[in-house]
Amino acid sequence: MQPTSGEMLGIYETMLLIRTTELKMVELFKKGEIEGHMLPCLGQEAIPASLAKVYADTDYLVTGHRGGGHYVARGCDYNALWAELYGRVDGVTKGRGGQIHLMDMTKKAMTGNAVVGQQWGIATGAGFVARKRGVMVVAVGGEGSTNRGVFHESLNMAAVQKLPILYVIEYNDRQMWNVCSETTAGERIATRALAYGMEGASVDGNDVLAIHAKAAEFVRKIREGSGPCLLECITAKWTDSVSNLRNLPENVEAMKKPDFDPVLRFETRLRIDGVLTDSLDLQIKENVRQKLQGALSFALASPVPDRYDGIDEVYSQPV
Amino acid sequence: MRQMKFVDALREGMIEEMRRDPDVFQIGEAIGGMQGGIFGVTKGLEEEFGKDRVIETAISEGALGGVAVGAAAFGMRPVVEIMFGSLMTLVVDEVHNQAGSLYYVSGGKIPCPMVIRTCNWMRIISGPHHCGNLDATFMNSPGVKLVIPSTPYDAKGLIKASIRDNDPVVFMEYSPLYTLKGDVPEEEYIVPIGKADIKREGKDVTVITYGVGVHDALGAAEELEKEGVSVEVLDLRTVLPYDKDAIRKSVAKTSRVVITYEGYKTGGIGAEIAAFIAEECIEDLSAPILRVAGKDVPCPSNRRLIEGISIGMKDVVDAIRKLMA
Ligand SMILES: Cc1ncc(C[n+]2csc(CCOP(=O)(O)OP(=O)(O)O)c2C)c(N)n1
Ligand SMILES: [Mg+2]
Repeated sequence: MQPTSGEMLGIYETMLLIRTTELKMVELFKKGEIEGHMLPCLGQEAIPASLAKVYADTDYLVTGHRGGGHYVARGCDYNALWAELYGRVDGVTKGRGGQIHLMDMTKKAMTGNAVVGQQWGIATGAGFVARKRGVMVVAVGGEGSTNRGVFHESLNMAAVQKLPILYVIEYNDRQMWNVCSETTAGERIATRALAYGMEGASVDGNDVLAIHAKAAEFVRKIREGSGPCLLECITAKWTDSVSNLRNLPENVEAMKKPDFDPVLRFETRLRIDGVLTDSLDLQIKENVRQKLQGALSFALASPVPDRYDGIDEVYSQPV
Repeated sequence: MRQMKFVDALREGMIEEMRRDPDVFQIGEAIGGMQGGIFGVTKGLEEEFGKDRVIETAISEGALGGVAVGAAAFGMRPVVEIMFGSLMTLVVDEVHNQAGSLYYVSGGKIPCPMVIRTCNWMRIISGPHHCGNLDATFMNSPGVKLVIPSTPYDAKGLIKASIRDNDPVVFMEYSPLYTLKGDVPEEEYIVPIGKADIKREGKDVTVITYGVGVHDALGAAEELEKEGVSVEVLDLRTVLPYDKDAIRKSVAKTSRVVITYEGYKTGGIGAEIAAFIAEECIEDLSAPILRVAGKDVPCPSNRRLIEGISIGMKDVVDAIRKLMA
């Protein structure tokens, strides 16, 4: 089922918001205005933006370390994101977790984790809750994380239990300095679904409509009780982390091609289809600009935490 | 004497052992190529020894731990790199249950000569999953040796001893030390496992520590010398099994003890050392034993909050002043 024109414009706006957010984050990091460990999802924006139009507001979202785009697409607190990046008390985790531990449970979103692969087990746990509550889980991770044993253990358990989980792989062919061919046996991660008797598919992860179509089909089946499905989205990340920018597009010609730029690619598509006009585009970009400006002002107005803040918050129920 | 960075001395030690013994091999994530691991410790090794002895792997810590035990049990000497110390949680079974018990449970028939190297990087801003500290986990693992060098000299001598050792060694590197320069002789040497080192002689207080804590203690000693307090710095070097004689001797001399370590205070290395001193050296003490250690809080991803939970030279100075008051 194609998304409606309105939904497509929504996806486009989300992609732009993610792109703008990640570029600003890189810029502020380079200037030394924000610090810490940050993993932008530049080049992968199509995946979070498309998925967010497929799952429902009541569903659960669990990602690994590159979760910033999913946080934004899910509609998690945007002001609190920026306060977090600035390490301020109004950050979504009060400035404690930083960019790799973003979580907004008001949106049922655990979009941060720095131990690669652990999200698979956690998402599977969320799957038991989802089954009971009549909702589903979207679980996201890089292809590298599928080489952890916990990936196998989780998919097997979810399949046996018929848990309502869409497992999504963001396949960008890179794990820090490693390329897939050095570390990973077999061509496609999606084929592993066969082993668990679940459905799997591999799609162009820079193509919004391809992701949307397959994800929507899987979500429908999962809601009908099929048990988990595995969706692999083939994409490319422009950069590994803010402190390792060697792949940023200005340095790599290839990245400037529309294939490598899902935002540009979707914009072109929307224009050809007559969905996006110049004036709409201007308006959408203005929305994004204002949202970012508002969040930056919010963040800068938020106080820096006291250095002992949180020391009494290690237990939820102190004894 | 030749000056060398910690990271280069460590690498030189591994290279010498790989040249000496063809059964020594390296395995880990992103350890090959020109990268040579996240801190470049294994840089250039693949070039010299090839892909069969410098083995690049997927993100598969569990398998890395298992591979170490299996390769060691069947006769080789694996050196595994786990990218950072927090990930040691993912090989606790392999180290604690498998490697730690193998020699004993096989009736003394199967030694397990493996080294798992990793790096504690608590003094960066990266949050609880990167900047945790599991030193105490391995202090509580019978059959395992826990080796933590503080200088380039010790790093080289101890990695060589660890690779030659017939028991499983967890070799912990503290990231702030990689760039530290120090004396490293040209001729071959070994630093024996199980021997502490007095890094500075003193007569009023003993600071017992290891790794990066040694440098906090040395800084504190220098500071306090101006006030006429003479501080002895005892570097454990091997944290398990630790050098009881060296501790006894130093405590008998100074009668006051501060133990400092970066891990969480409760149930940490200091708890064991303090308990040992209380059991065996209580008569020598003229003051309570103090611990200077991290707070029992997950590491935040925020410079300001890190200040609130971490320790440094100043905390060691304060503790010593308290003991001398
Ligand atoms: C268990 C574990 N091993 C190693 C690391 C270090 N590390 C952080 S990101 C990363 C690469 C992850 O690759 P992938 O899962 O493909 O995700 P991507 O970064 O490409 O989005 C590695 C090895 C880690 N954080 N956790
Ligand atoms: Mg990847």
